[in-house]
Amino acid sequence: MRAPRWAANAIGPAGALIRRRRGLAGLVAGTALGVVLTLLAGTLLPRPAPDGVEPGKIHLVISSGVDDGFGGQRDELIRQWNALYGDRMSAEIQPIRGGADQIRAGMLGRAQAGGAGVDIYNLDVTWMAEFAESGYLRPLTRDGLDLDGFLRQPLATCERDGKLWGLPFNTDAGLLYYRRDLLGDKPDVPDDDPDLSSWQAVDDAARGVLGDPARRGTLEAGYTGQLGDYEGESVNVFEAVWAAGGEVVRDGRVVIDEPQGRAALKRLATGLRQRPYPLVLPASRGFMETEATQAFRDGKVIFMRNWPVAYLNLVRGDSPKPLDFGIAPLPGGSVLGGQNLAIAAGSKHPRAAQKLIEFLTSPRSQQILFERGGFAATREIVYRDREVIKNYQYAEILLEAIEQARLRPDTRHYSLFSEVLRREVNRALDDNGELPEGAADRLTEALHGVQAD
Amino acid sequence: MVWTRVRSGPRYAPTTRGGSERREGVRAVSDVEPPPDAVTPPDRRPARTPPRTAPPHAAPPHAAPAASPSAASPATGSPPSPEADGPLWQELLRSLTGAVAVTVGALSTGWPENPFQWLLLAVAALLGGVAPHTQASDYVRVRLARALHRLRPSRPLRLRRLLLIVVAVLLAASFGRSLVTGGARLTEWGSVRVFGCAAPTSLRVLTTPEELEPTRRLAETYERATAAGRYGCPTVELYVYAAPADSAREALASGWQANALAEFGPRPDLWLPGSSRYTIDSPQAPLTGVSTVSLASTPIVLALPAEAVPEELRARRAALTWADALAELAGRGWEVARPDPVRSTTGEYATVAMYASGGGLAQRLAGPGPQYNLVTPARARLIEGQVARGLDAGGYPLGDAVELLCRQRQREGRGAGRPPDGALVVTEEQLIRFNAGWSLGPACPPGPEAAPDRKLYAVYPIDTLSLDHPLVEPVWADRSTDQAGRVGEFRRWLRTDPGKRSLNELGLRPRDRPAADPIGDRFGVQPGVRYPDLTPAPAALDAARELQRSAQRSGRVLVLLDASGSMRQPAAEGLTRIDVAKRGVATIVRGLGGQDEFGLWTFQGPTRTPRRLLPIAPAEPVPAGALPRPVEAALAGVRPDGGTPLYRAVVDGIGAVEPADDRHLSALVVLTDGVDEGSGVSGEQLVARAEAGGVRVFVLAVGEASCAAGPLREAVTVSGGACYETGFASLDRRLNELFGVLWGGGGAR
Repeated sequence: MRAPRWAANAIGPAGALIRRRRGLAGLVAGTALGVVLTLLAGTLLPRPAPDGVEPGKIHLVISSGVDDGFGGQRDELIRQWNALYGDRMSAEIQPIRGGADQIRAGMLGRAQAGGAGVDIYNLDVTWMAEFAESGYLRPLTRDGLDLDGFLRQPLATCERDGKLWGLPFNTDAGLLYYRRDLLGDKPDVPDDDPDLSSWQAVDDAARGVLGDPARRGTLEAGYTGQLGDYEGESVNVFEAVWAAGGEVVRDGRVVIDEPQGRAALKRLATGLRQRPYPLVLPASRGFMETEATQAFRDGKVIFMRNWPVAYLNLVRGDSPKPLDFGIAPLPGGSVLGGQNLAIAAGSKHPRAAQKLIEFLTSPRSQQILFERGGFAATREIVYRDREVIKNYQYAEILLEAIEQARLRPDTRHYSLFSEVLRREVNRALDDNGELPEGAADRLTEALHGVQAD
Repeated sequence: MVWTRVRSGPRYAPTTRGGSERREGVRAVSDVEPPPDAVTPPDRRPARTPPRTAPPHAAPPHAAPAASPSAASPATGSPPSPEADGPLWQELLRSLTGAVAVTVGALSTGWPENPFQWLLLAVAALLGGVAPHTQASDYVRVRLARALHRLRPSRPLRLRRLLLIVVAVLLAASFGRSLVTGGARLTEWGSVRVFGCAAPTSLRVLTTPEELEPTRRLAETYERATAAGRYGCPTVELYVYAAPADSAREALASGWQANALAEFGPRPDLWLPGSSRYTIDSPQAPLTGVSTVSLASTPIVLALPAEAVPEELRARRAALTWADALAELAGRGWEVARPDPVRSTTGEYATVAMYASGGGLAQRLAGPGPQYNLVTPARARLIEGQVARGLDAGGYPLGDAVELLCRQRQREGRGAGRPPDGALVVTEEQLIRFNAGWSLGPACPPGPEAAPDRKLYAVYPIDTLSLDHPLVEPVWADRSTDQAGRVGEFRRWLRTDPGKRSLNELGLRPRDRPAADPIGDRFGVQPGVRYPDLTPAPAALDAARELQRSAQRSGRVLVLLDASGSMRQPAAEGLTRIDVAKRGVATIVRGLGGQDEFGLWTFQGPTRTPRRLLPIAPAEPVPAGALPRPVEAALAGVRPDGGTPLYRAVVDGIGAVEPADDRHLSALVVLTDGVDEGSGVSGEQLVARAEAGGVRVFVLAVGEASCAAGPLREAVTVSGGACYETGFASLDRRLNELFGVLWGGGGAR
C-alpha cells in the first residue's frame, strides 16, 4: 500500500492524483466513511441501559421441570422479580410436565430447534456436559460476579473449560433417615447417636432390631432406598459402590466389575433375598422417592436413603403422633444432585437472563427456597443462619453431606450410560448380584454414546 | 494442473489477448496448453494429421518440463523450451489449484465434523497439491489431450484447453469427494473410538396410554437400526410418552402452547394417536400443517378365555356379527368387559361397532350419515347392562383396554383365579401383548408368556372395526432442518421392510405385508382373517357416544372430603386447598344427571368417624350453574382442622354406598392431601373392605398425598377404581374427566 505517499501528495495536486488512482481513492474514501459511520452508530444506536441489561421491554422464559418443592416458592420468587422491575423486565417459568427424562427431551427439543423462545434452562447437574458441549448454552460473564459464597461442589458442576455455564439453583445430597425410637436414640440426649458410620454398622443395627420381637412391630425389612428403574436407582448404585470403596468409572472406563463394585451389588442382592426379614426391602426395587418415604412412614423399615425433601414430607403431616426419626450422613457419602440455571445460546437477552439467574441464586432467594420450599441451598451462608439451624436440625448434616458429595460421570452421554447401568445392575440383582458377562465393556461403550447390540 | 507439464510444439504457441497470464492465473496456465498432436502417438493419430517422427510423450512424463509461459508468450514469439520448468509461482499455482479442487470436492459431502475428518481433508488437499507434479498426472493429461484431439482435431485451441482444465478440475474434485466418502468409515471409526458418538438428534414421539409400550419398543428397534453400521452410534434418540388422544389433538391444533407443556409434556415431533379418527379435520379445531400416513392396522376383537371357548364358537370365530356374538355370550351367561369409550379409542370403536351391528354393512359408518342405523335406546341399554356387569364381575377398572388387561394379569398374579367366564373387548395387538407376557404399563411389567389355561382367544366379529395406527407429523415452523430430516428418515424406515417387520413383531398388521409371527395360533389369533379397514365418520361416533351416554348406568357417588388441618394451606391463586376442593365439589354437583345420586362426607381428626354432611340421594333440580341449597350450606360449614383418619373414612364410606347393580354404578371419591393417621384401621382391613364392597374407590391425591404403592393404592386397584395424583390447578379438569365416566344416564339436567 502506498497510502502514506498518497496522503502526502494529496495536499498538492489532489485532483490529478485522484484521477490517476481512482481505485485507491475509493478505498480510502470508503474507509473514512466506514469509520465515521461506526462512530455514529456507537453514539446513536441504543446502548445497554444503566442497569447493564439489554434495552427495551424484556420478557424472560425459564424452561424447567415442575416445581416439586413446597408452596410454589420458585414462582413466588419470580413474582418478586417482576414486582422489582415492573414494566421493564418480566419473567416466567415454563414448566414441562414429567420425570427427568421427559424434561430433558423437552429441553433438548427446544435447544436443537435453535432455542427460540427460551432464555434460561434449569438443568439437572448431569445434563451440563451435554448442553454445554453441544453449544446449547452461552457462558455467563464473570465480571462482577462473586462466586465465593457458593458451595464448592455445586459450583463445580457449572464450570468446564474455564468457562462458567450456569449458577447452582438448588443442590441435593442423599441422607440416611433412621427410626430413633427403634434404635434407642433419644433426641434430648446429645451423645447417644447410634453408630451409622458404615453399612456394616447399619446392617448390624437393623439385624439387632429385626431379631427382637419386642421392637419388630410393623417392620418388614431393615432398609429402603430407591431401586425402581429410573435415575434414582443409578444414584443408589453409585452410592453403594462408593461406600464399598469401589468406583463405577475411572479414567473413562467403567470398573464396576472390580471386587469392591461386585461386593456392593452382592450386598444389595443378598439383602433383598434374606428371609423372613430382609435387610433391603424387596419392594424397593419398584420404589421412587415417594414410595420410599411412605414405606418409612408406614413403619416398614428402620432406615431409608432419601433426599432432604423427604424431611419436610415426613414432618408436615396432621399426625398427632409424629414419626420419631433422626437423620445421619449416608455411610460412604452421597451422589451430588441438584439443578443449575444456565443461559440458552439462543437467548436474545443474555445479560438480563444472567441478572435473573443471579437474583434466583442470591443468598436471600436461596434462603427462601430452602426454608419454605425444601430445596437444599447452594450457598453456605444459608446453612449458618441461626433461624435455619433452629428449625432444621439436619441443616448441618446436610451441609456436610453436600460438601462430601461426589459427581456422577461427566459425559454428554450420561442419560444413555445411566440407562445401561440400570439394565446391567437389574440383571445382577436378579442373579445374586453377579454382573452379566461383558457388563463393564458395554457400560464403557455407553459412556461414550455407543449402543450395545 | 496436470496438462501444463508438457512440451509445447512451437506451431501452437498460444496467442492470447495479450499478457493474460499476468492477470489471470488459470488463463495463463491454459495459454501454455500443449498442442493436441504433440501428444498424439503417430499410430493413433487421425489420418489427416501429418505424422511426426518424435512423439513428445515418448519422453518420461515426469521429466517433461512444463512450457514456460514467458517462453510461450506472444511477446517473444519464440517457442517454449521443451526442457524448461515453469517458474516457481506457476508450480505453486498448479499445486494450489489442485489442492483447492480436491478440497472443494471433499467439502461437497459436507463440513468435517470431527478431527479425523479434518485430518482426512488435509490429506486430500495435500494430495491435490502434490498430484500435478507426479507421473500419473502427466499420464492422465496426455491421455486426455489425446482423446480430445481424436474427438475433434479441428476444435479451436483455446476451447480445447479450457475443456482440459474443466475436465482436470472435475477429476480432481471427484477424487477429493471419493476420498472423503471412501474414508468416511475410517474417520468415523476413529472418531467414535477416541471421542465417542456424536450426540444423536432427540425426537419426541407422543402416543396414547394404550399404545405407550409398543411404541417404546418400536422406538428402541429404530434407534438400534440407526446405530447398526455406524459403530453403535444412533442418529436419533426417540423419547416416547403418552397423552389422551383427544386432549393431545386439541393441544396440537392450538400450537402446543405453554399450558400443553405443563399438562402433557414436551411438544411432539411425531404423534401416533392409534386411529385416524383424531386426524380427520374438524372445523372446531383444525389440525393444519400435519402430514399423516397409516402404518399398520389391528382389528377389535372379543377376547375369550382360551380353555373355555366351546367348539361351536371356535368354528365360527370369524363368522359372527357383533350382535350375534353378544347374543351368543349372553345366552351362555357370559358378560362383556369393554374399555371406557371416553378414555379409550378401542372402547369407542367397539361401542360404535356393537351399536351398528345388524344394521347393514360396516362401510356405511364411514359415510356422511345421518342414517347410521344404530340400535334403539332400549337395545343400547341392554348392551350397556351386559358391559357394566362384565366390568363389575371381573373387578375391572373403568379404564382403557390396557388397564383392563393389566387387571386381568394382576388377578392371576395374586392367585385370585380367573374372573368368571366372560369376554374382554380389546384389539388383536393388545390381546397378543397379554398372551405373550409383554408389558401392559407400569403396574404390569413384562413377564413370562401366559400359561395355556390363562391365554385369551380372539373372536373376530365380521362387522368389527379396526385401528389404523396413523403416523402424524406436525410440521412445526421453528423446527430445525436436522430435526425435520430425522423425522423423515424414521417415517421412511417405517415403510421399509425392516420397519414393517418391526411393526409386525409388535402384533400389528403392517400394510401390504402378510401377517407373520407373533400373529398366529400360539398367541390366540388368526393370521388370515379379513376385517373392515375403515375409519368411522365423526358424526357416526358422535351419534354412538350420545346413545351410549343415555344408555349407561347412572352414578351413585359418595364424595369424601379431607378436612384435616393441612387443607388450610394456600393452594393457588390466593385460594386455600379447601377452597379449591370445595370448588371441585361444586363442579361435581353441577354435572349430576337426573338419575344420579350424590352424597358428601368430610373426615378430620381427632374424631375417627367421618362427618356425614349429605346422605346419598338424587340432588334436587336447580337452575343450570347453581348449587342446590343443602350442598351449598354443607360446604360452607366445612372448617379444616385436626388429623387425617383416612382409612376409617373409606371403610365407613364403602359401607354406606349400596353395591353397584344393573342400573347404578357405585363409587366412592376421596379427595385428600395427606396420609392416613390415627384412624385405627389397618391397611389390610382397608384392602379387604375395598375388595368385597362392590364400590369403586377413586382417590384424588393432592398436595403431599400420593398414589405411591401402599394400602390405599391397593384398595383402589382391587375395587376397580383409580388413583390420580394431581395439582390443585388441574383438579377441576381431573374431576371433570372422572365424573364424565361416573355420572351417567337420564341425561344431564
